[in-house]
Amino acid sequence: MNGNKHTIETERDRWFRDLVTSAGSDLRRFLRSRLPHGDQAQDLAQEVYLRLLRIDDLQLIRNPRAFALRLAANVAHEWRMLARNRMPHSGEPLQELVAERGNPAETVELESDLARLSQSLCGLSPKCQLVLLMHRRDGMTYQEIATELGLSVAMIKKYLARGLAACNKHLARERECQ
Amino acid sequence: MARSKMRSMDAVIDEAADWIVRLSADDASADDRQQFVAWLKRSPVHMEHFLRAEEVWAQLSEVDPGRKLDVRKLADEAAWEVADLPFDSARETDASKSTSHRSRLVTLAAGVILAIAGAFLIQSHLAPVYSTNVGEQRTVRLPDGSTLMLNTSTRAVVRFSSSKREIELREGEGLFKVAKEQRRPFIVRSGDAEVQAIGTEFIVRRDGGGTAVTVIEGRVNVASTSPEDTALARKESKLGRTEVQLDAGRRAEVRGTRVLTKQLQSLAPIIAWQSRRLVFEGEALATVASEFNRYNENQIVIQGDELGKERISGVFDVDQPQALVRFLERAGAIRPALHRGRDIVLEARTP
Repeated sequence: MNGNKHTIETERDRWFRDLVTSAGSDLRRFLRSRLPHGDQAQDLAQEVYLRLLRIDDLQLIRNPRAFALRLAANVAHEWRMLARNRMPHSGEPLQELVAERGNPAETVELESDLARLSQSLCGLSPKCQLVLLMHRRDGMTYQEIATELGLSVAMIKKYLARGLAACNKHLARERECQ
Repeated sequence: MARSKMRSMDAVIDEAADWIVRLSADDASADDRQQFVAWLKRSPVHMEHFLRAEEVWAQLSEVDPGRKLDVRKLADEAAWEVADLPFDSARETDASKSTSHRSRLVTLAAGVILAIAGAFLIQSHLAPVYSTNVGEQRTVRLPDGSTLMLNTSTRAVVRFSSSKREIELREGEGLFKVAKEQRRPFIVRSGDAEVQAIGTEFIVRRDGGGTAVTVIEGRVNVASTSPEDTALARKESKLGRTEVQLDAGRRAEVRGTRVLTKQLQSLAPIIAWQSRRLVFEGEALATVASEFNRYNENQIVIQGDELGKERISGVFDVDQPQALVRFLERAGAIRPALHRGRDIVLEARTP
């Protein structure tokens, strides 16, 4: 239908993904870390939150999502640098955070992350799985999915949000069990 | 405690997912972005779950690189679901939560063969679960034409068969408008309470203390199915259970083994939530605060027992705990309220 829109959408998507995967690989590490003492992700969120409060709304509203992610990536990066400088005195948990990009341990972690997510995805209702795959994996826009399935865009959004939330809840429960 | 914590976390996870989907839309507006910023600034917990959800959203595009999951097959499967009902993932696995209830039933009915228990499990697995989050309300149309309006933080499981229409209220409050069907009784189970109707309108509310049933129109039967009660009642009356008939304008409270009933002066305070209002007629402030707290993330905390006993009358909007706080401040009953995180702390003004 609207080829242009499609391209813009996937570009924006790719941009977000790049932000989270490359520039945000420190961030990802923090979000993934399962350290025995305290929750790194919570500490990080707290710090990002405090920094966000200091920022003027007008500036934020232009692209709040990217702004928050960028802040989080910055905080994660700073913390990693700090941790690296303190390395000599510290034990294993920090090592996990300090490890350089692309090391084998991290690749394994990422794969087990994806396996876990894939498991939660398969536990969803067929409709939720369907719309998530069509949008995230196949890069279709909400409108395209709606047309394909004969549903309204509002319903597509509902199924997407429900599916994403269900995956997150499943992962949160797993984190708690560890 | 842990359960309510989990529920509030679930609510934040839902909101975070909603935001990401909304902001990923082609038509996301400046208004959306503004509201999102406000949401994000409300709590570090929002930030945490936003970041986590963003990460999962990104990962979802990498999760099946070999395209092994077949979209067409999923579409076929999806077509089998009841299309017009907005239910919460029909396959939601509630098995763990209802196990204790179920095992109790199974123990009671000694001699029930395993195959039947198995069938029971499978059936409840596929039963649609309807639920609402904090502050949310929703009306659901059931297959028989009855309607169920769910109040804040509510979960209900619907199991209809050819012989009965059964609903289990797991938590929260629901208003039932039952379509008349002589041959298929409409049964609502909530904790130890069992409510049976044919065609009528009533409210069932479940909380920590038990279950309350209020009849708005017609008549229902309310029974306690508490196992201790069954033993006791057998001894005393040989009936096997306590059961009362409840007419319009009356309210029954089922607390474990007992069913207490009373005539209400007015239905207004009980039904006001349908229009997102709270009506109080000389209610203790402690009760008023806990009513507001059911609907809002921001919680009113009352310091001191004396203040909690103050009597309040008035009509409020469920979404506006601030209106109550201002009312109390102006009346000189409290000191200026303190805001601590999500808590609004009220303290009596010392003379």
